[in-house]
Amino acid sequence: MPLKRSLKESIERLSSFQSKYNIFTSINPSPYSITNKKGTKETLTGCVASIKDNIVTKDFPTTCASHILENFKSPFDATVVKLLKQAGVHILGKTNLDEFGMGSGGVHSIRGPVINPLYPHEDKKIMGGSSSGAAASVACDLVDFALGTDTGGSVRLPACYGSVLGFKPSYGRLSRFGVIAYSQSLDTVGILSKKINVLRKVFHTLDKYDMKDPTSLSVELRELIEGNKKVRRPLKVGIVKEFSHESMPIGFHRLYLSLLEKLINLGLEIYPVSIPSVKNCLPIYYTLSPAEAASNLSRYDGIRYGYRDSELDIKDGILFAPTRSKFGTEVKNRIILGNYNLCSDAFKNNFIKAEKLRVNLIDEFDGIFRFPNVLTNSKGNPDGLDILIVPTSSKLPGSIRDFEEEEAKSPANSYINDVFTVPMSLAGLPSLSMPLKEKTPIGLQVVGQYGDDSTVLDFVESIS
Amino acid sequence: MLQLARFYSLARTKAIHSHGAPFRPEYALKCGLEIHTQLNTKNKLFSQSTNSATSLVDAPNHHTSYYDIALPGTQPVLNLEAILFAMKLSLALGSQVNSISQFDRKHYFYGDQPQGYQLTQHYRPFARGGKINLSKELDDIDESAKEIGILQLQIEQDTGKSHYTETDKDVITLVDLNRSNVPLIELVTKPDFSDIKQVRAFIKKYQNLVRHLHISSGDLETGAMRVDVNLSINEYARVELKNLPNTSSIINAIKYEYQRQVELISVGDTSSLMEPETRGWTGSSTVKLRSKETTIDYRYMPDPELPYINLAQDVISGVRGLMPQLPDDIMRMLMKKPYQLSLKDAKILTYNSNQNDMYNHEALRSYYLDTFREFSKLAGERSNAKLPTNWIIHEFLGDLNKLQIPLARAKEILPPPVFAQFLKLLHEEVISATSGKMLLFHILENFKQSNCQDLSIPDFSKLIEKFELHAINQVDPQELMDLCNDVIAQHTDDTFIRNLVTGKKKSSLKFLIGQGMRRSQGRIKANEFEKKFKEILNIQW
Amino acid sequence: MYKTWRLCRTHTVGGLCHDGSHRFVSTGGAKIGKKFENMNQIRDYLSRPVWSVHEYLGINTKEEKLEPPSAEAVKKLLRLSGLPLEGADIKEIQMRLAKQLSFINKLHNIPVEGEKHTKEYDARLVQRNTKQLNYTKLLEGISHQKQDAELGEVSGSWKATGLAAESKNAYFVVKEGLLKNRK
Repeated sequence: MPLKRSLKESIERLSSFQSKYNIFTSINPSPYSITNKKGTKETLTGCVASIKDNIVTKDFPTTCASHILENFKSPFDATVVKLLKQAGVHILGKTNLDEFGMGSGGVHSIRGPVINPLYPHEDKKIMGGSSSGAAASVACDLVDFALGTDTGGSVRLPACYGSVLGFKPSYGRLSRFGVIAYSQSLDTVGILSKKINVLRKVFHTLDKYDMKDPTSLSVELRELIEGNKKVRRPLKVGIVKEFSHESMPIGFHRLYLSLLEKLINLGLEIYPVSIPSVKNCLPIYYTLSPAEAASNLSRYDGIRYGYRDSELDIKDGILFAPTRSKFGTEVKNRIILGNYNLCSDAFKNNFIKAEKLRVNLIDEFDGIFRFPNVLTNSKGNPDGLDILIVPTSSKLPGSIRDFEEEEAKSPANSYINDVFTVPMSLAGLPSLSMPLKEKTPIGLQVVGQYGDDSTVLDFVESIS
Repeated sequence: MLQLARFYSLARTKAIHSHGAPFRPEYALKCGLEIHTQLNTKNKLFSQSTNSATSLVDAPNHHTSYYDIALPGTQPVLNLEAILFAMKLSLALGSQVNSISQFDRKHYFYGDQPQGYQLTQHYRPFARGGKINLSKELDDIDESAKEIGILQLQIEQDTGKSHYTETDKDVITLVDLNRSNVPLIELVTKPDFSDIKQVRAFIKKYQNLVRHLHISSGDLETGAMRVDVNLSINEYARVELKNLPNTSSIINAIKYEYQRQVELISVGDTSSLMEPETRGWTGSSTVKLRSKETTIDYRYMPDPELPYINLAQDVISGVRGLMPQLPDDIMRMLMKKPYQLSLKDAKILTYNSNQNDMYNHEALRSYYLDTFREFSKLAGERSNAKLPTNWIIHEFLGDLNKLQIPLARAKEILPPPVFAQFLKLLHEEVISATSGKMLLFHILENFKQSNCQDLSIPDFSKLIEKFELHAINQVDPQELMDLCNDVIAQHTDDTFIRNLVTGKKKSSLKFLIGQGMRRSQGRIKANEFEKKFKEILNIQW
Repeated sequence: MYKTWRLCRTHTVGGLCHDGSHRFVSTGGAKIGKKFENMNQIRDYLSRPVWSVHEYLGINTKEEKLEPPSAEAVKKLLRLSGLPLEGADIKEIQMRLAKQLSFINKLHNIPVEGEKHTKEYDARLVQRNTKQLNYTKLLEGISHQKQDAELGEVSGSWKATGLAAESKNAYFVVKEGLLKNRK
C-alpha cells in the first residue's frame, strides 16, 4: 500500500518535516523507491517503513542517538528488519529516539529532541519517548508504519501523543535479535501505524519464532496458544480501579465514556476490576530496568566498535572512563542507579524484592483473565475478563522545556509518565494504544492476556 | 633480634627446599584448589564459532563471531555439547547434578572481557558435591587413603587473551578474542588438602581424568587447565594464589606462602592475615595483588535471556551409559590377576601424558588387552602373564619409539592375533628371548624402511629359518663342550679360574655364560652353559 | 457499588508443577467486580479517585528528609559504572540517587504475597516450568548445531577488528598497560 503522492512531493514533505520535527537520524538516499512491485491487500510489498535507531541495520548506521555509537554500522540486520526486507518493504530511514531507549519524553538525544507534529513546531511539544521519531514519522504520514521498541511504554506513549496506533505485542513474539538491549526481560519490538490493517499485516509478518533469540516464544508454545483459542462471547472488558487516576487530560473522560458507551451498545460486558499490584509497578520497573541497563551497557568501551576517546582508555584508575563519559546524562544516571541496585547489599533488598513483586503482579493478572497463560501454566479464570481498557497517559504532551525542568527537579517526575504502561511491560501482556479521536493526543490501551494478541487486534479492528 | 631473623630465614629456606615440605601440625594448613578447565567442544559456549585446538598458532581474532565481539544486538545461545561434557565430568566425580541450573553475569571491565561481564553460574551451578579419592597404592601420597571433596562444578565463559607490549610512547595491551567464550568448567574443591603430595597427586589425577573423558587436553602449559590455590593457616583469613602456570609453581607457591604465613604468625604480626587477600606468584615469591578494599564487586545478576538448564533424569542415566571405565578402576583391574601389572606399567596403559606421538594410552591399552586375550587362548592353562607385559609394554613400545613408528601403523602388520602368535613362539621356547628381540626389531625396521607401506604380515617360520634363529633344544653335547672349552681357554689367568671354582668370585660364572651365549648367538640357553661350565670346572657350589 | 461486589472465586491452577513447586494462582488481592449495568454506574466508578501516584510513591518528599548515600559510595558506583570521577558532581549524584532511592525503596514496606512460595526466578517472561531436556533431545540438539555465517561464526569470514577505531595487526588495542595503572 504505497503512499499516494508523487515522488517529488514526498521528498519535499520529508525534507520539510525532518527539519521541523527532527524525526530521523539517517535517511535512505533513495527515500521513496520507484518500484514496479505493487503491493496487494495481503502483502506488505511496496510499503514504506521507518526503523527506530536502536534496531540494527546493515544499510544504515545504528546510533541509539548516542555519541557512543555515533558512526556504528552493524554488519548484520536485526531479524525484524530482515523479515520486512524479505516482504518487500522499503525502509525510509532510522528514527530518532531517547538515547539507548531511556526516557519517556523523546528529548534525550544527541540529535536533539523530536518535536510533536500534532502541534505547531514553534510550540515545541514533546513527542513522548523513547520511540519518538517512530511516532512522528507515522503521524506525519511519511511512512505506512514504523518499528519501535517498548520497554516500559516506549511505543505506546509516543503513539498516544502522536494520535496514532502503537502496539506492543506479547513479549517473545517478535524476535529481539538485533535489537540493542536496554532491559532484556522487558524489551519488546513494537509497531506504530495509522491503520489497523497495516499494523496487523506487519505483526503477522514479524510474529515468528527466531532461534537466534533465546527468549523467542517457541513454536510449541505458539501452537499451544492457538489451540487455547475459543470463541468468547460476549467479550468481557475490564476497567481497572487502580488506573482511575486523580488527574486526567481535559476532555479525556468525555472521550473515554463515549467509547465505553459504544462498547456497551455493541453488546460487550464491562466490569470493574482491581489489581492492587499495579500500584507498585513503577518502583519495580525502576529497580529492575536500570540494573539490567547497567549490565547491558557494560560492553560499550570503544575497544571493538563505536566511539573511542582518542587519547586515553583509563582515567583516575577507572578503565574505559574517558570513552564512557560520552554517554548522555540520563543514561549515566540510570547506569549509576542500576549498579547501586546490583551491589551486594542492595541486591537482596531491592532487586530480588522487586522480582518477587513482579511475580505477584503476573499472578494477579492471571487471576483476572479468562485466557490461559502458557508461560505460567495458569488455566485461566472461567469468570475472568478478555481485555482491559487502560488510559495510556495521564497528561497531554507538555513543552520540552517544562518536561526538562520537571525532570531536573526529580527524576521521579518523568518516571510517573509510565504509570499506565509499565504494568503491561512487567507482565509481557499485549497492549495496543489507540487514539480516542483523530489528531488528538489522548489514547487508550487495549490489553489482553499474555499470548492473546489476536483478541487485542480483533477488538481494535472492530471498533475502528 | 638479628639472630632470630636469621634463624627463621634459614628455617624457611630449609623448608622450601625440602621435598616433603614439613607442614607443622601446630600451623594447620587448610588448602583448597580452584581449577578452570577448558572444554574441547567443537564450538564455543554461547555461539557456534570455532573452539580452536590450534590456539597457539591461530591468527588473532580469527575465530570470533559477532557475539564474541559483543556487537550490539547479539544474543547468547547455549552450546549443548558443553552440557554433555559437564555431565560426564560430574558423573566421573560422583557429583550431584542439579536438574535446574542457570547462568549469571559477573561484571567487571577488562580489555579481554568484551561484554563487560562474564557468563558464569554463581547462584545455581551445574553440579554440587563429589570427590576424588587419592590412595597410597596408586597416587604416591603418604596416607593410605585421602578423600578430596568437591564443592561445586560450574560452566562459564573463558576470556580473551591480553598481551602486554611496550611502544616508545606507551604500554599497550593487544587483545585477542579467539579464546573469548570458550567453555570452561570451574571446579572448586573443599579445603581438604593437608599436604603438598596430595596437591600434586590430585592435579595429576584430575588432569588424566579430563583427558580420559575426552573433554579437555588438561594441559597446564597451554592454559587449557588453570589452577588457583586457596589456603589459610589456623583459621586466619583465606589467601588466594594466582598466576601459577605449571605444577612446580603451584607446589612452590604453596610452600612459600605457607612459610610466609607461619613466620608472620609466629612473630605475632598477623594484622595482614585478618582479611582475605589475593596474591600472585612471581616465580620466587608471592606478592599481593588485591585486598578486600580493592576487591571488585562483581554484582552477580541472573542473565535475563538465557533459559534455565532443565535436565530430565534420563540425561544422567543416558550419559552414564556413554562413560568409559574410569582410570583408577582400569588400573586396579590391570594390577590384579590375570594381568598383574606393576603400578608403573599400569600407568603407562592408563595415564594420558599427551607427550607421545607414537601412541595414545587407550590404543595401547586395547592392543595390550586384545593381544593378551589372544595369547591366553593360544597358550591355554599354562599362560604366562609376564610375557605379553614385557614384550608389549617394554620391547614393542621401545622399538616403536626408537624407530618412530606410530602404533596405529605397526598394528597393521602386527595385529593382536599375529603378535599373540609371536608370543607363543617365545612361550614354547621355539626361539630364545634374545632371538625374539632381534626378530621383532627386524620386522619393524623393515616396515619402517618401506615407509610403513609394505603391509604384508610377517611369516615367522620363514624368518626364523632365514636367520637361523631356532633355539637349540637338543643341544649337541659336543658343540656345547667345545664352546665351553673355547671360552675357558680364553682365560689363561689362573687367579680368575681359581676364584671362580672356590666360589670366591661367583659372578665370574655369569661372565663365562655370557661369553658362551654370545658365541652361540643366543641359540643355547643360559642354564645349559651354566651346567656345562660347572661340570667342566668341577664347581661344587 | 463496592459493597455489592462479588468476590471472584479463588481459582487454583490445576496440576502443580512436577517438581512440586509453589503454585496456586494467587489472585492475592485481584478481584473482578459485578458487571456494570449502565453508563451511570461507570461514570460514578470513574469519578472516584482511588489513589494518588504522587502520594503513594512519595515523589515530592522534602529534600531534608532524604538519606543520600555517602560520597565514598558514589565514587565506588562511578568506578563500577566505568564513569570518570573528574567532572562528576558528586553532591548532585548523591542527591539524585537519594530521590531515586526514596522512590524505589517504597518496595521495602510492601509484603510479598505468598512469600514462601514466591520464587524470584519466576519473574522472567519465559515458561516457568521449562520443558526438560532429555537424553535424546540433548544428543539430537548437539548434532543439529552448526555454524551460521550470518552470525559471523565461520572462522575468518569477517574482519573482527574492522569496526574498531584502533587496532594493530589484527589485535584490539587497549592503551596504558592494564596492570600498571589499575588501582
